[in-house]
Amino acid sequence: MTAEKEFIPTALAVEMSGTVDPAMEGPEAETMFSSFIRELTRGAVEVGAWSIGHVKAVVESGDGFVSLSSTTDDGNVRAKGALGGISTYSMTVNVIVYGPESEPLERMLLAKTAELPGKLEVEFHRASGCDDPACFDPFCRLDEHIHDPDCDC
Amino acid sequence: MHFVLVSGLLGVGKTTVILNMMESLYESKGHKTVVIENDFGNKGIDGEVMRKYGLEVQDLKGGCICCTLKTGLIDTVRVIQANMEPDVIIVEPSGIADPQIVVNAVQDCNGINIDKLSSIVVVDAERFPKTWKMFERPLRNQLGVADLVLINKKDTVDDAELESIRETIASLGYDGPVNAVQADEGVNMEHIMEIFE
Repeated sequence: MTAEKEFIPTALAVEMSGTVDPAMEGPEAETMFSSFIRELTRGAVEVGAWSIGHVKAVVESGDGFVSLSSTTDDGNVRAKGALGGISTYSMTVNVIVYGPESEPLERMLLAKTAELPGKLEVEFHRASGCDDPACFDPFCRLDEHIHDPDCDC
Repeated sequence: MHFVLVSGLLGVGKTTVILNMMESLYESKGHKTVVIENDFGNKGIDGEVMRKYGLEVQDLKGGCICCTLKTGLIDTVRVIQANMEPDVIIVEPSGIADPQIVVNAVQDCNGINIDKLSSIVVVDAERFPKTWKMFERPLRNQLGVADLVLINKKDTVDDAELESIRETIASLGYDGPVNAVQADEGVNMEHIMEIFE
């Protein structure tokens, strides 16, 4: 397998937990999180994504959850599930796109996250991949591959 | 045991296809089924969503099963087969995986008893016309081992566009069955069950 550099996506995973005061109704919260995913997708294009792999999130609050997915920057976000009223929530976001370096993508994600209401804790899970031209895997952990010195793996 | 690989580029709807398949497998076939999910990241989402819908899911995180995690996949299949004795194992590789490598790894492996191996490839009707040239090589790799191709999100294109997608898929050397589906609404998904006959 031989991989051109442009076929290796930039991948970012983020875990967030937040508190919303006053509490929000479920439909209002679903709209807010859909809008967040929409903005992340547009933001990814703005920082250089020539193709969206996917921008996905799962939001949990109490007994409810909603999963959200966007693969185009035309504003379309597909949602499954439902939230009840939320005062606290946890959210995992996966952004996988082709084009931008991880740093501007991360900056964009942080800026969009700051627009969410309430108090948030954010934890990034970065994937730098390796430098082996035959490897598509940004999470590569193979010893025999040539690793980026800044890579976590 | 029937080993089913559901491949496709990132964002084509593989997880939605599997969720819909699982409903049918439980309801009409009574097959005991386990999903192996290779989310493309240390904090994946697809496996978590499947679990919330009550599916039996094993995660392979932090790499791609055609590369870093090939050994992990084999070990996971062995453990599942020994401990759970499922009728069906469905594997969802990450969108960058080369399914040929996964198929070879599973077929060449001792200690895994596979009665039937099926490979379903999902493409996205909405984005296919724009993306197939960019991702021609990985797409050819996927189609090269496909037993069935699903054109998902058929609601986003008209009949002429759908026909054009079919022609492109044929031009890439695939001559097997192609079904246009809308997996999130279960539209036209019943044909998938034919691979379980």
